[in-house]
Amino acid sequence: MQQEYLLEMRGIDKAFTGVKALTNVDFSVKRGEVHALMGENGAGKSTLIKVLTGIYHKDAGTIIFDGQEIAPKTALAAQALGISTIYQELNLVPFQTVYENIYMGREPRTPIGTIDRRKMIHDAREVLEGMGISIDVQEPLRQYSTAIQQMVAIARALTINAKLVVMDEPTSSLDAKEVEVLFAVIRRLREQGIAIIFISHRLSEIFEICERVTVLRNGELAGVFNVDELDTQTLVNCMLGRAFTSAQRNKGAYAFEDAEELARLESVSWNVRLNGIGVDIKKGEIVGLAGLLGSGRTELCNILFGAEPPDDGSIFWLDQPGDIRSPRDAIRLGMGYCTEDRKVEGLFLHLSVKDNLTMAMLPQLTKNGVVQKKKQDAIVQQYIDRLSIKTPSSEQLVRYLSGGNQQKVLLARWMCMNPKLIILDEPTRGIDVGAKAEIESLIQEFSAAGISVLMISSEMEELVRNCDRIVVMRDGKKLGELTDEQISMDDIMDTISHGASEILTAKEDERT
Amino acid sequence: MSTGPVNPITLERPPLSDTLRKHSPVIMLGTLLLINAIFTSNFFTIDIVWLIIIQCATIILTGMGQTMVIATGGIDISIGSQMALAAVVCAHMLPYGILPAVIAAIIACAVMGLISGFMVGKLNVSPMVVTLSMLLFARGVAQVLNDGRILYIDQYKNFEFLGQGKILGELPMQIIPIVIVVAVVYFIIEKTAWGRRIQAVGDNPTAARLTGINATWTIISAYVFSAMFAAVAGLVLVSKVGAADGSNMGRLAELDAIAAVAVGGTSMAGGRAKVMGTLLGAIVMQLITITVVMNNIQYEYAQILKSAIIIFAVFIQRESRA
Amino acid sequence: MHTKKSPVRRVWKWFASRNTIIAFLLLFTVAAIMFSNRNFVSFNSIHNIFRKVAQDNGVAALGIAFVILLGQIDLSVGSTLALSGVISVLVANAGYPLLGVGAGIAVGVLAGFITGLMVAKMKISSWIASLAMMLALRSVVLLITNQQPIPLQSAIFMDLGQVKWFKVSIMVYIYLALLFISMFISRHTRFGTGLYAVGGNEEAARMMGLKVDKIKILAYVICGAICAVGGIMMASRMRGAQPLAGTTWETYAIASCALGGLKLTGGEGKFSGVFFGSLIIAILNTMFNYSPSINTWWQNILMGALVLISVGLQTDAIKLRLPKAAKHTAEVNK
Repeated sequence: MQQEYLLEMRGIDKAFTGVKALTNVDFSVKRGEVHALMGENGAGKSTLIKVLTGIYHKDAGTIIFDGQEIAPKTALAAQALGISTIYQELNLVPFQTVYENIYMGREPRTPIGTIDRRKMIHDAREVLEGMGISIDVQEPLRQYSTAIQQMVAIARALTINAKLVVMDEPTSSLDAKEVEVLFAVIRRLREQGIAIIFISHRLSEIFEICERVTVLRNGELAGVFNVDELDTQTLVNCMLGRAFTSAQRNKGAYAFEDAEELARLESVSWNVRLNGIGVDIKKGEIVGLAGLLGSGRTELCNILFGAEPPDDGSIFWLDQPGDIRSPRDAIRLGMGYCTEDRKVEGLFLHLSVKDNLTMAMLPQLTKNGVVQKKKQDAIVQQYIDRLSIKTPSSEQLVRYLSGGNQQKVLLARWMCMNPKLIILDEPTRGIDVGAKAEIESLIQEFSAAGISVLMISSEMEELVRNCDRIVVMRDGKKLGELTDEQISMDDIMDTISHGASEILTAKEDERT
Repeated sequence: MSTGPVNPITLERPPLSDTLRKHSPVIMLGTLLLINAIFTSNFFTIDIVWLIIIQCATIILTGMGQTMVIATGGIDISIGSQMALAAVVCAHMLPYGILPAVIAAIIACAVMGLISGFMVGKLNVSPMVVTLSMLLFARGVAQVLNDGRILYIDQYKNFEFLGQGKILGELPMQIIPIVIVVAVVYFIIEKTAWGRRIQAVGDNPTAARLTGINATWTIISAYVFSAMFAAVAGLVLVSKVGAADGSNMGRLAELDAIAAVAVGGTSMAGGRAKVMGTLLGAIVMQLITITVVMNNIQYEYAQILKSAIIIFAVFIQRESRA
Repeated sequence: MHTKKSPVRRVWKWFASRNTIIAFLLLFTVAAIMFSNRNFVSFNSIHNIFRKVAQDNGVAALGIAFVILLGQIDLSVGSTLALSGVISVLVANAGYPLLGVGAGIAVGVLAGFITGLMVAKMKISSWIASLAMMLALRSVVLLITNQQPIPLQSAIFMDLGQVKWFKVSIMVYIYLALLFISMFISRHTRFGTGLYAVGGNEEAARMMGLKVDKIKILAYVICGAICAVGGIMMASRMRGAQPLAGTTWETYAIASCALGGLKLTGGEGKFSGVFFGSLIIAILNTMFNYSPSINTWWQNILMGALVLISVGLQTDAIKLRLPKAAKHTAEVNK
C-alpha cells in the first residue's frame, strides 16, 4: 500500500540566531511528479531544501518520507534514505572519469577485494543509456559540457536508488538545447516513478516541465498550485506579493528625455546569461534593473564595470567607444561598483574602516607614495559624519560593523571618488529598516548632484520609489522600459509575466 | 597594532580570543624572559642584549620581507638560498669595491624575486612550489659561481666591519641594517598606499580587483622586496662569518623567518602584516636558542621547541574566514 | 552507442597528454648522454641508473606522491627517512635485525600519522605542518646519533644491501615492488580512488560520503611508511645510519613528482609518471656525476628550472591561451 505523497513536510520552523528563516511551512511532493519550488532570494527555498537534505536541522515540524518520519542528520544520511540533491556547483570530481564519479565511495568490488572496474564501466554505461545518454564513460568528466556533467550527477543519484531528486537551479548555466536534453531526462525519470523537486527562476520552464508549484515568500508558504490551472500573472504576483503596492514614488515626472547620455551598452552577450541586451544611462538619472533572479542583472553590471569581458557587443562612454578592459579602466572613467555580496567581493575584513573607505581613492591621497594622513583622516571623518556611519573610530576593523554600516563604508568608498556613475547591486540587502531609508535618500542625493545610478534590487518597491526609469529584464534580454507613472509594482510585474508568457507561447508555437 | 582604542559604543565587540591573539608575541616574549630570569644565571646583562642583536639580525631582516609576502597571501621559502646567492655574488664583486659588491648582490636577488613574483602573481602558480624551485635554483647559481668551494673574504676589513664592527662603544654594527630595514618595512606597511594594497590583495583578491588594485604588480613587488631583504641578510651574514659558502649558507633560514612571522601574529592566510610583531617574533625565536645554549642543553632541543611553537602559533592564528 | 578505443588512439592520447613533456625530456637526455658517452647503453649503465632511482630519491618520491595526489605536501620525507634508518639500525645492533625493520617502519608510520593529524584535524597548512615536522624529526635524529654515524653491526642486515638476483641489486627489486604496490593501491582500492577524489574536489568527496580526514591521515601514514623503507634501505646500503641522511631529498622528491606530471594541486597524475620523473632525475644525476665536461653544481639550477617549467606548464594561466579541447556533446535518444 503506497501513500499518494512521497514526501510530506509539515509545520517546518527554522531560525538562525533568532531570525526566522522558515515559519510553519508545509510542503509535499507526490510520487513521480515534478514539483517546482519557487520564491525570490531570501524566501526560504534553499533553507527548506537544506532542512530536507540534512544540512540544517529543523526547529519544529515533521518530515514524512515514503511513509516514515525522518530526521536526517547529514546529507549522507538523507542520501541513504533516497533523497539526492544535484547542486548548482556540481559536487563531482572533474579529473576523474565519468564512471568513477558515478560510483565514487561505493565502488563494487571483486571477490578479492579490489575495485571491479569492468562492472563499474558496464553499469555506468547502462544507467546513462537508460537516461538516453550515450557517452564514453571512461573519459574524464571535465571533457564534457555542464549539461552532461549534470546528467552524470543524476546518474549517480539513480545508482543510489534515489526516490526523490532535488535539482537546485539545474538550468541556470545551460543553453536552450542542453535544457531540452535535461528535460528529456527528467521526463524519463518521471516515467520511472521518481519524484523531482525542481528549483528554477525561469517561469517558462516551470510551465513546461512541472506539474505542481509551491511558492514561498519571506519564509512562509505563499501558495500551492497545479500548473494546469495557473497563469504566469498569478505566479509572479504570488512570488513577489501584492500586499505592499502602496509604494510611494519619490520622483517627479521623467526629466531625462533630452539629458546627455553617460553610458550605453549595445547588444551585449555573455555566456548564456546575457543575450544581446542594450541599456543606456543618462547623466544624473537613476536607472533600475528589474527582473527575477537569474535574469542577468548582475552580469550586466559586471560587464559595464569591466570585471568580465563581454563575448559580444560594445560599451560606449560619453558616446565614445569605452575601452573598459578591467575595473581599473572603469574606475578611471568615473565608475564605482557596490557588489551584491559585500563580504566576498567588497570588504577587506581585516582592515580598518579608514582603509576600506579610502582604498580606491589612495592614488589621489598619496604624495610620493606616502598616504597623506591628514587629508585621509579628513575625508574619512567627513564621510563618517555625512553618512552617519556608526563606528567607535575610523581605525575599527570593518568586520565588527553592522551590515548597514558596512554598506555605507562601501558607498563612501565610491562617493569620495567624485564618480559619474555608481552601480549598486542590491544595496539594501540584509540591512535594517533605518539604514535602508538612509541609503535610499543618499541615492536621491546622488541624482540631485548629477551622478548617475544604475541599481539592482529584488525589492520592487525600492525600485518603484527611487528610479527615474526601470529596465525590465528576463533571460538576459530587455523586455521593456518603464518611466513616469508606468513605474508601479503592477506594471513591472505585468511586464515580467507578459514577457514570460510571450516566451512561453513562442515555445508552444514552435512545438505545434 | 593598527586598531585604535575600543570605545564602549562598539557595535560588536571584538572577541576575547582576538585580544589574546593580538598580544601573543608579547606574552611569549614575557614568558621566555621569565623562564630565563628563574633558570639562567647571568641572563640580564648587557652582553646578552648585544648577543641578541648580532644573532637576530638575519632572522629580523628575512622576517621583514617574509611579512610582506605572507601579507599578500603567499610565502617565500627561497630566502635561505637568496642569502647564499647574495653572499657569493658579494664575495666575487668585493675586489671592485664594497658598494658595487653590495649593489650587485641585491640586484641578483631582486631578479630572483622578480621571477618568483611573476610566476605567482601573473601565472597563478602556488607560491610554495614556485619558491621551492627558486630555493633549488638560487642555491644552484650560488654553487656554480663558487664552484662548490668556500670563498674567504677576510682581507676586506672594511666590509667585515658590517658584521663584526661596533659603533658607539659596544653597540654591534648589525643594529644599523636592522633599524633601517624595520623602519622601511614599517613605513611601507603602515604609511604608504602600496602597503595598504599589499594587505588588501592578501585579504580579499576579488574585492582588490574590483577596487582597481593591480594585484599582479602588488604581488611581484612583495617578492622582489623579500628577496632584496634576504640579500641584505646574506651580506650581514657573510661579513660576520668572513667567508661565503654557496652550498650551506642560509640553509633553513626560511624556517626561522616564517616562524618569526607566525609568532608575530601575521595571519598565514594573508591580509594582515604585523611588522613589529615579526620583530618580536624574531627575538622570541633567538631567545629560545640562547636560553637553551646558556643552560647547556643541546641545541637540537631548541629546534624541536621551535617547531612546536610554529605549529602552535599557526594554530592560534588560523581562523574561520567567515 | 560507444566505440572501443583503437590502440592507435590510445597511443595518440598518451602523447597528447602532459606525459609528452616527460617523454621528450627523457628521450632528449638519453640521446644527449648517448652522444657524449658511448658506453651508456650497456647493461651496467642502465642497471646503475635504476639503482640510482631506487637508492636516491625514487622511494621518497613514491611516498610523497600519495600526499601530492591529495593536493597536500610533506616536506618531512627526508627527516622521516633518517629517523627510521637510525631506529632500525639501533634495534638491529641490539641483535634483532627483523625487529629493526619493523621498528623503522613503525617510526615512519607514527611520523606520518602525526603530520596527517595536524593537516586533517588541526587544519594547519600541510607546508607549515610538515616543515615543522622536518625540523623536529631531524633534531631528534641529531640528538639520538649525537651527530655521528651509527655503524651497523648486524651481518644479515648488512648483507641485505649487497644481495643481487640475476645480476640486479635487491634495491631495484624493492623499489619496483614499492612502485607496483603504489600503482595497485592508487588504481584498485577504494582508498586509491578516494585519494584522487579528495585531491580533485574535497567538498565533493565529502558530499559523496568519503571519509576525507581518514583518507588524508592514511596518505600521510603510507608516505611515512614508504620513506621508512627508504631509510632502512639506505642504512643497509651505507652499513650504518647517517645523521644527515635524506637532507634536501624532499625537494628532489617533489621535483620527481612535478616532472612526472602529478598536478601539485592534487587529483591528477599517475605513479608511472612518478617513476619517469625519478628516472629523469637519476639520468641527470648520472650525467652530472660522470661526465667530465659538465660542472656538477649546475645540477641544482637545472633541477629548479625544470620544476619551475613543468609546474608553470600546469597552470591555467597558460592553458587558457592554448585552444580549448572541443567539448564532447551527447546524442539523446528520444
